Amino acid sequence: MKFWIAPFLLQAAFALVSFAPRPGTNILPGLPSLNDLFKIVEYPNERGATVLEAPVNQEGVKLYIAIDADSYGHVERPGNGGIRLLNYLSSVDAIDDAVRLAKGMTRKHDMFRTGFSGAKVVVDSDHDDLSMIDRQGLMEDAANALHALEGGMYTGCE
Amino acid sequence: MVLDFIKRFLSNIRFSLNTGDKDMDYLVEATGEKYVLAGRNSKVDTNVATASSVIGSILGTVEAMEGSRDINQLTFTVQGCGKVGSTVAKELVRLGAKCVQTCDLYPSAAEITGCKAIEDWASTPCDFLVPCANSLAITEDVATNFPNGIKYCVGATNSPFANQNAKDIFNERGVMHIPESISSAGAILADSVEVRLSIDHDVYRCDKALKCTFLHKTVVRY
Repeated sequence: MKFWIAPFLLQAAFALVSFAPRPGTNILPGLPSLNDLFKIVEYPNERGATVLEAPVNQEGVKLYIAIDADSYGHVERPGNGGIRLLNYLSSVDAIDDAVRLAKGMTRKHDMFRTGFSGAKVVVDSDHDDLSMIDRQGLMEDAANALHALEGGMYTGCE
Repeated sequence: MVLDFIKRFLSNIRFSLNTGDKDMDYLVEATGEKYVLAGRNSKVDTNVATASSVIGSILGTVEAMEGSRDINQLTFTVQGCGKVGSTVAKELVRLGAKCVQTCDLYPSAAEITGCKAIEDWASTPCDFLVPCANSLAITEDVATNFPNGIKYCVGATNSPFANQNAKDIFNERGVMHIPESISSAGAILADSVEVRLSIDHDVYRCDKALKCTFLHKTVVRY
């Protein structure tokens, strides 16, 4: 038995256990306001990203934020990714897209060691005609979500 | 049902993906200039930065595989002529490409000086496919039936392949794909400098860094 490896195994086990979501407990103790604003629609133990649904003050529009597990709640390595707006076939498609793109952004940031991890904002519109969307209102809702994340995510154009 | 899906998908591809400068202005205002990295109030255009990384990747690929950076014997198809794709197409023309074919859902967008507008990017022969449009466009069907002669796939699109099978088909056909984590990283490089700018408040140093990072001023707005 190589005893020197034990501390590393313990550390890894602790990391896995401490990261697993516990229903009924605060997922982000450092950011207690998050759970009041967001609905968590996917936990990081499923596909390696947390997906949040942020409130939107208009009908027919949903705003999802996918943040790679490495970044969620860690302002030292914030998530970064653009805002994509689409008329998805379903919410499941929108969430899938958000996770896939956030993970892709992580690969991109890792490649160049930018200090960011991956994230993505995906807006799912029920409107075929996207000009129906109140863009200013939508961006104000996105801003509220970014403020709630307290520097855990930066975004931009898609 | 299928037609309805295609119609809905295609009708939204170009405009919907592009949250634009106006949106970013709203967001910058609403956040109090926090948490937004979009090159606002900056000389850097992140779309041009992305285009620059695509061009750099194309030239690097050509140099590594063809022995020089000369592209005058190569035909390119630029799929999607939005802000990034149109910049890539113009730059390829400027660099002396043999032929630059452009394709967009909005035909007028593909009308770029020096380029040849085409109707169907997936059935027109080329050496280089440069995806600059919607994700998941290279389906198994497209990868299987893309005309012979294609050698490289280098572009700006995030997740250009519909699935792993589509990627494998291109690979088995000998098409070299440069991952978008390399080829379309220009904007995130600009972002990382921009966030450093906001942290350091050292405008001069960061402006200088940007110019050094993206040589030839290709990322600067014009």
